[in-house]
Amino acid sequence: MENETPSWTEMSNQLLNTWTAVGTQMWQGWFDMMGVAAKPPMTDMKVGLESVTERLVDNQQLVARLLRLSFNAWQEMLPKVESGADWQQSMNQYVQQIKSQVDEFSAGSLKINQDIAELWKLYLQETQKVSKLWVSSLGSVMSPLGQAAWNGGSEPWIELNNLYWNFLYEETFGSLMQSPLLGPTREFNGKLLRSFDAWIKLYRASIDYQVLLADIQVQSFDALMKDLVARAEKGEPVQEWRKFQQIWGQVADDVFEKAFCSEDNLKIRGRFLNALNTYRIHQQGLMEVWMKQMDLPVRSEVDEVHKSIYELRKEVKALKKALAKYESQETATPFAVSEPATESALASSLVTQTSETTPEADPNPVPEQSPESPAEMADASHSPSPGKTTSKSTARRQSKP
Amino acid sequence: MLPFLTQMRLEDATHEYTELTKRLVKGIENLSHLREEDIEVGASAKEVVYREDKIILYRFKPVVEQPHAVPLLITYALVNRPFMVDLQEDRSLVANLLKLGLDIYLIDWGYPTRADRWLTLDDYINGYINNCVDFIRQSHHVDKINLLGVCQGGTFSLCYSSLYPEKVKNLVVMVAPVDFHQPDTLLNARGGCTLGPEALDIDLMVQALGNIPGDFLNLEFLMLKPQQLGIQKYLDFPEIMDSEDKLLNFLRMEKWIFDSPDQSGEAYRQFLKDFYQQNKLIKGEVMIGDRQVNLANVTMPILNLYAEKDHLVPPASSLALGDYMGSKDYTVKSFPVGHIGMYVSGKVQRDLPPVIANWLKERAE
Repeated sequence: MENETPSWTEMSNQLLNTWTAVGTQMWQGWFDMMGVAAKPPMTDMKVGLESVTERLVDNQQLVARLLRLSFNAWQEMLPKVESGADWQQSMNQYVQQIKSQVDEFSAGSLKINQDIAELWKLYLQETQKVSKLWVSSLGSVMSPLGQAAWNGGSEPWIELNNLYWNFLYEETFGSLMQSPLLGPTREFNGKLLRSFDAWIKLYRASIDYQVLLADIQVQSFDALMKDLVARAEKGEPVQEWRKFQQIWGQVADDVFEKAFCSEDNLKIRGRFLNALNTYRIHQQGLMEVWMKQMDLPVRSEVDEVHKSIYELRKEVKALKKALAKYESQETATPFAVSEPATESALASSLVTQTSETTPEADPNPVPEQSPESPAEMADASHSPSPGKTTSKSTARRQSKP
Repeated sequence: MLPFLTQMRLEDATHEYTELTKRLVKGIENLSHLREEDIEVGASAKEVVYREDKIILYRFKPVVEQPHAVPLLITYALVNRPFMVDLQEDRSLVANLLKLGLDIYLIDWGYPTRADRWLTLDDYINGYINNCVDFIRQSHHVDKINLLGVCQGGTFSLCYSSLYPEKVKNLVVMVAPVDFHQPDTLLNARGGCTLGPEALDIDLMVQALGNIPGDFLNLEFLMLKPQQLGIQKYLDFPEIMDSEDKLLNFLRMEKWIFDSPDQSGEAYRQFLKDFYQQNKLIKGEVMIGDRQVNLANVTMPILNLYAEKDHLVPPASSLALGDYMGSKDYTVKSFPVGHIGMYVSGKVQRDLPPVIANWLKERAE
């Protein structure tokens, strides 16, 4: 034969080269196709994708090189096998190399497996905790559900609502939300989280309150039916729609009043109102953060200004009153330097001069004088006051029209 | 199926519906002719005699030649506007008292704004009321005046009379709460007379809202009888629409009911906490400023008027005054109406003013 059958070595080389070339071309072609198929919005990402594909191709080539080295080892051994030379030594060396590499790989793999096992264990533990919460909450739900079905009323539904929040929110996210935070925005994030927490509490309280209101509606309807039946039995049937409405209104309001005089229901309502106010406070806090950033005056600053004005105004009034008293005492003392009786600063300061016109303003207003002006004090001491009360001992009397 | 439906006959229902439609048509015609100015409240002529901050002291123009020598100052509640006592010509306590010869003043508290957030009961009682009293005393050259307190204004009048007994000749309190521990009364229960902050945390509310909005108070009062005041009242409205007089009366009441000023935060805080929740008035622990209120110091003659069907201030709350005040001349009178009926009921307007006027005149000396 002219063409000799190629040796195993040549064949394996050819196979390896072909396989490597094919693999490389395949990956290259694949990623080229991806790049071509990418739509315009993806063009920005094309650069990133191309770098990723290049790395993959490099890795592919590396694998190919590793395979080539293995085949080279076989290539070295096969001629010796063919020629009958001592190929075992090469084989042993090769096997030792493989074995050491495998050992290394095994040790690494074992470590990885251990870590993975531990991760799984942690994951399962945490999942078990959550599952346990769900299971125990499901178990706890049965009792209130049964009560609700059997007895009616709002208490079982409210208990259900509380179970839901206690088991599934408070035990998981709720407690985490209370933890101190990290980072430069920790203060703002803290406000956000506390607002969220306040909203959750409000939502929870509002559900309780609505359940209660619904229950009261049911009770009032029940009372209405009883009232109508009682009237029919007495021979006083309701035959007018308006009369029916009046009775319904009266009965419903009586039930409502009685229900809300109970302490339990008052507490539910109180929780709702208090949660609403708490949420509002948090809302205001967040609003103030935003307004401060916009350089706008905030509510707390305005309140502070008003408080200052209020305190100053009060102080001025007190000072003017003291001054008026002092002035009146001064002019009342005998042999004092005679000065015209001055209009007390009190009355003039107390009357606020406003620029607005008042339709009811008296064209001849009563002269404004201090209640403790010297003239009045002198009159009071010398003339009997028409308003003095003489003491009377009169038995208490109670009369009705 | 509702029992009554089986008893209601179709012809009756149809007739009822027809009558209602006729009234509605006439009522809409009446309504379309009315304007806001037609339902102004405050029928009697008055003049401004004193102002301080936002408060105004009015003097009603006497209708007799020689009014009673001792003037009467009416102190209304901070809640709602004070012109309920002068709602309209034929339903005006003030007008009737003027006809009986009394000289009447009225404090208008105005509409507190955010600037008034920090006003306290000290400002209202030791400040505004005291200054108004001093002004009237000065104007009339008298040492003492008569005081008439209505509802919360009655409570304020009691506090004032306890602190300044030398300035008050006779005291009339009308539907005034004294003992706030009334667990069977919804308003008190909601205010926390039994549960305190658990029913309503006042500090939290004032912190959140600042001034307490008038709308919130409106809602609170409506929710005492939600069906009757929120729904039934308007279902009955078509029944009176065809009568212009009744329509005006209704609309005037509506205007007054929903014209609620905001409450100053600090004054509201102290009133709810000290009076409603801790019931300090009858315990003698209320502090107005740095002065302690002791009802035993209220030694002048007292006329205590209360409404037998009052759902806001139960009779027991008003009657408790008799157990704590220090007066030897104490008169109690009741009327078979509700809280608002004391001011606007036609029957009461016939009987009440003479009771007050005669009682005051008997104690003029």
